[in-house]
Amino acid sequence: MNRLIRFALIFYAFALSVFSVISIIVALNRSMLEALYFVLYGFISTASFKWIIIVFSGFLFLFSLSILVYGLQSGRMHKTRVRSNDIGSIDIGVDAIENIVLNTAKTSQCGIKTAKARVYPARNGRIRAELSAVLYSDVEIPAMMAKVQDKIKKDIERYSGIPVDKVVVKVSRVENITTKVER
Amino acid sequence: MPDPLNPTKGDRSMTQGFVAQYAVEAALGTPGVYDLDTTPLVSLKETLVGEHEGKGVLVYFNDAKENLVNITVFPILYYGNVLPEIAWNIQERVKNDVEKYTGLMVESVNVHVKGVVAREDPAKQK
Repeated sequence: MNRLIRFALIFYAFALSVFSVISIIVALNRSMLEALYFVLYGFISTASFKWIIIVFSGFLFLFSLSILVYGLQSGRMHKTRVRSNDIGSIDIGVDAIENIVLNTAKTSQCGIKTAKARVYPARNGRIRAELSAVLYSDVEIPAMMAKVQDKIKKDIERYSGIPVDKVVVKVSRVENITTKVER
Repeated sequence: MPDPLNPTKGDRSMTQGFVAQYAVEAALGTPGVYDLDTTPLVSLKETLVGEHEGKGVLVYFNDAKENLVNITVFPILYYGNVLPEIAWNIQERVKNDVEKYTGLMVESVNVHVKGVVAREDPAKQK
């Protein structure tokens, strides 16, 4: 974990615990609420303290944003270094690997209507692929999904050279095949 | 007495965009390459200003040593190819073309594969 993010998380946990203790005290004793109000009002009325509070709040806002971005991105791969040679390095982006998974799923002719793919890092430099698929109703799900899993694993390893730890296929929905009769 | 190898005195300079144009042509000419990926910033610049020289390629000159250049290419490749092989071909082609046409020494060519697309017509597959 990034050292800055770790520090921010520790700071946040501490600030939250102080805030929760103050909330409990204020809820139990109403006179504390009035005292807190006067203390805060006194701070804001003083010009120098006002700027300190604005700067401190600005830092807090930036910290919150960075933690939010980190939380959203954590677990998602960015790129995988396949090899380095005397000319330079070769990286394969996570989008490229996800595109391989999607193209394999579409070309496998296993009754997949639409699909979404995600790739995550696994142990020992391997990757884990997840496919969330919407299937047609006339598909033998266990047999066909086993076929898709196998094909995705082989295709990723063949086309990117990156070893695959496992392939998870989730069937999110099954859609009926309806025929439209025009009048 | 004038130097026979460099008879005219003066400086010669090349912009990053100029070098990037050769790198783009070399990368796009490599079999298996569909296009080069551009950042949103470059797309915005193209919309506002017009053409951006060498989109999908980053060129850095080495500050310490003259005539040394580092290039990073962001290709989108066709599905069905072995990506490291295509990337290696891009590296070789970009290095050779840039050195041949600009006279600069290429220190490194890094390739970051940004995406994979399926061919529209299977008959066009090589």
